[in-house]
Amino acid sequence: MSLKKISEEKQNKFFRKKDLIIYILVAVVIAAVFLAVFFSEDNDAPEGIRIIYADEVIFTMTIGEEGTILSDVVTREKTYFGYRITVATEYGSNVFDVNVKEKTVSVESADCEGGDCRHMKISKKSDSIVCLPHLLRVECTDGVNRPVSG
Amino acid sequence: MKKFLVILATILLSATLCLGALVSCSGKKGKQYTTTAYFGTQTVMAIFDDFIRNEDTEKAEKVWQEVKAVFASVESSVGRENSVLADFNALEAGETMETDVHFYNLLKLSAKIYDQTDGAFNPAVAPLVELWGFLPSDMPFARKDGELPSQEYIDKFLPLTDFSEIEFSEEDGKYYVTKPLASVTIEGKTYTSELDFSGIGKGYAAGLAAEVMKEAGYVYGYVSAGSSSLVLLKNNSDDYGSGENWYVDLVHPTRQDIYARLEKNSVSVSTSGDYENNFLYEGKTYSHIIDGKSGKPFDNDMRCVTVVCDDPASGDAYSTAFCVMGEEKTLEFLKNHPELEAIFVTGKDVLQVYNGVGAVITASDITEK
Repeated sequence: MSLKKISEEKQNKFFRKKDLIIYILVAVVIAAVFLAVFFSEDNDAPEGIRIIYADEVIFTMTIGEEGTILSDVVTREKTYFGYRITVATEYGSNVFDVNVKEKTVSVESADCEGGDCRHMKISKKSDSIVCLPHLLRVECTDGVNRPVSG
Repeated sequence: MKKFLVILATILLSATLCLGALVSCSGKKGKQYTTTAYFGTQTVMAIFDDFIRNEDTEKAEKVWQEVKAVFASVESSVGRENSVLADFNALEAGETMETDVHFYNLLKLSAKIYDQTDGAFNPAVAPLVELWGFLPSDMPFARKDGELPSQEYIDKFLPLTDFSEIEFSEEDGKYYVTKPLASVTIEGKTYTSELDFSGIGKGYAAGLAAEVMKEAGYVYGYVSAGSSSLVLLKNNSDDYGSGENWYVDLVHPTRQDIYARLEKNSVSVSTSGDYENNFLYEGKTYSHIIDGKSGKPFDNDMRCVTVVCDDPASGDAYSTAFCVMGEEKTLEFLKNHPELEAIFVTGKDVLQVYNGVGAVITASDITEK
């Protein structure tokens, strides 16, 4: 086959192997960027929380900062992982752990009847912690809570 | 050159598709606004929209201001103090006054549901609610801790609670209400009929707020006034529901756990019961919901009722009425009202579900406990 013919052959072949690899690489990179952005949006960690007692905000915090205590029923102490927030009202006591690194809030202890809140945790903006016997709620300041009724 | 153009076109197309997908999927972010300024409870407005540009957030904040203005306007009408309602309650028997449109609308709706429920929903029980100590009162004989009000006073106040005696009208765009002639004098003080719209006012305000959201073009979100009055638009996030339905968790009145989950959109969800405002006397729970016939807190097996329907004000009123009516009468009523769905928990901790128009209940424990 003459060089001229080879050159013509190459021109006629629309996709060569190397071309295909480049196309696939470009597609993979775009897909990876898309997936990374999409899933990071979906699992958004909370940026801030507020604690509400009997419909009054008693504590607010941007996770990573020490937060603002708005009522005498709240006390706060620094821990290895973040902060321990204690709410002691006439109805009882709840202790919340704020993990700054993981951006989570969990219930360390609660003396409410039933203790349902002890299983609740905030790790996404849509999460909340509710302790109805103690009229307490922990919500994300930058998220939306699920609607409840009752 | 031709090949280069094809590659370029491929890359641009892929990027455009991905960008489009990103905007349509993750662009719908939720924003929540809350306040405790109205009706002594927490008002929440949640919106899901494309919060990409600053204008999107500015628009949502403007709508929130309008929603707050709606709640303020309704509270200035039917709130307990410094309101049209307070002016009405202060009238002498037989006097007429001009009201605002909210007061008139609630009178009209209350009259309809009062008739439908044979007086089970009755905003005119206000004097008895005061007597039982569930509203601030200057009655020297109102219930105090550790006692029940005297039957003598209950009997004296009962004639003041006939809601059908309240006259109201609209003339040339103005609204009027006339207080009934009935009055009772106790220990030198004369008492007249009074109204209390706490069983319907929050739902009414939430309904108006949802209209404000819709008029602003929002499709996805919800608004609530406390946990008793909730108005759902549509949902668009898997975190909160399925498809366009929201998951609405119903909290059990005594166990305090979630006993059922509704999957709903574009409806209102209203809950009433004996659990939220009550007192305990000799082992018995007395609720703030007063039966206008007995003059006492409702006394039957109902613990809490959730009503799903189109109109949140009506839902609030029906859920209150069903508590008074009890299980048997409520089921009979619902047979004739397929537009209403109701779920209730009775004293025996039995959950009853009435699927008037096909409610979806996904909780695993909806059978007898």
